[in-house]
Amino acid sequence: MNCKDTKKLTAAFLDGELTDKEQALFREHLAACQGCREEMEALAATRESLRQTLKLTAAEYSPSPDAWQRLRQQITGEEQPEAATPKRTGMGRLIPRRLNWKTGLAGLLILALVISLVVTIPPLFGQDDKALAAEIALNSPEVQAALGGENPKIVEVRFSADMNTGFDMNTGDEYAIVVFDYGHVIAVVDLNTGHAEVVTAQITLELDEFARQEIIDIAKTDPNVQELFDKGAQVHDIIVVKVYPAIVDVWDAGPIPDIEVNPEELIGHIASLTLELGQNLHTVIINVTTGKFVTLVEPGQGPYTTKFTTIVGPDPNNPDGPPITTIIGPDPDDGTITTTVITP
Amino acid sequence: MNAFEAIFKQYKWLVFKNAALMTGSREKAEDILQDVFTVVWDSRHTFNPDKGKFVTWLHRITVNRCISNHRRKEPALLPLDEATPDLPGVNSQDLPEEALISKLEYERLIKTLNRLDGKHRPVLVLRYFNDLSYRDIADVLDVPVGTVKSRLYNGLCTLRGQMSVAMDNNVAEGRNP
Repeated sequence: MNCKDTKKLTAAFLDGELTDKEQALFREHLAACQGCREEMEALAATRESLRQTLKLTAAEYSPSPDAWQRLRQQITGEEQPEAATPKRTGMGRLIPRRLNWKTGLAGLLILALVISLVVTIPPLFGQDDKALAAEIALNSPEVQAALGGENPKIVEVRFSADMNTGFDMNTGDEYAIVVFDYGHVIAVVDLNTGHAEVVTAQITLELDEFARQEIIDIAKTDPNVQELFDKGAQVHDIIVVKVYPAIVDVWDAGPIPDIEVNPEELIGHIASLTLELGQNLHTVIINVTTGKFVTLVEPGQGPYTTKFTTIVGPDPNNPDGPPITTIIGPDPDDGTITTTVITP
Repeated sequence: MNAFEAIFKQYKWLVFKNAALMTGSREKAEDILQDVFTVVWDSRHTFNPDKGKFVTWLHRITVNRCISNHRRKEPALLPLDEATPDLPGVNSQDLPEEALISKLEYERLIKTLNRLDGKHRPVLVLRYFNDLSYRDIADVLDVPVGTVKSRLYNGLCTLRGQMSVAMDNNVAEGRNP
């Protein structure tokens, strides 16, 4: 390999894109040629600067908040009026926000667990008990801190005894789960002691590139995750929630079949990194606070690990009726993304 | 429409950031974001996942839109000391601690990147922002892998060359390199 050939392969060498044979020839030439070594070092520095520049620049860019409205108007040829949106009251208001939110979560174990319990089981307890649980939660300094001063909207109150899910929950009848503002904050309330604790609080749906990279780097410390990346897995989604020590109270070993996680490992800022490989989604749970990998949820193990997202919730047209099931995913015939609603 | 909205919200950042990096313009990126998802909507019945990944398809539409935008309005080559007002300003105090790049280097790179043509700039963005493999980049651009290799090499060499010129000019003018 001469200098001309070597130089042309420099970028590919730095990017790890040479074949074994090319790499051997490249290294052989480099060992004997100072000029090409210097060329490679200079190009490596430019490459690294470019990487950082692109990431820093991209972090400054964000689409305008009305991008969706404009697009919708363009493709439907009509205004997307605020007034045309049906006024959502009671449980019905949950549907549109939760649909997006849940789709975005795509595999977040903890919230998926708690929320799925919350939305699927009809209530058995009286309104007075619910109002009491809500009041306790609202007055809790911890809950208020987690809500960050926002005007809290209680979305749902459920009691642990309602949750006939087959999961072994440590909570007794006297516990209530209170969900604020579309799952933003979830609290557990002990009606006997009047004590409320926060279980999870959603941090953000959008992370900058540095935060994303940090999470990906932690995920790659697990050899199985690294193998997925080596096979070409692409990052599908990253969500971070803050999980509070109360998770230990509501989480018994193995609340989701086949997945064993020590709930204490889940205390802190927890990231759910969903990787897409072929038709499957793999979910990596990472504790960002401790910088440790927690677990890898393989397709079929946990909820939302296939391309199909299933949401069970109240029917917006009949909020007091039986829950409906919404399935979002590719059509098996032509692959187009479709939404299917199943009513009982 | 709900599923489409979910897809838009999931991928709007990816498309927007890529379009902004490839064109160097926030306004153009806004237009390209709209264009790309209009194509996605119009093609929703014809997209076949067996023929490729959705993200690859999105990248392909984005790059094509950026290139056609680039052809329509060929940007004037800027002198290196001219400001590039369309690009976001990053102050050195905003740079994270682990960032090894200086503010001056950042500004120079942004300017030289802005001078690259529509063939080389998307390849650099796809590789060094999106971390796509050469094979994936070749699929996005519908070119052989060898072309990706040479465009990346030439693109990096151009950046390095322009950076050296800027540094030499600064030294000659008595400024800090």
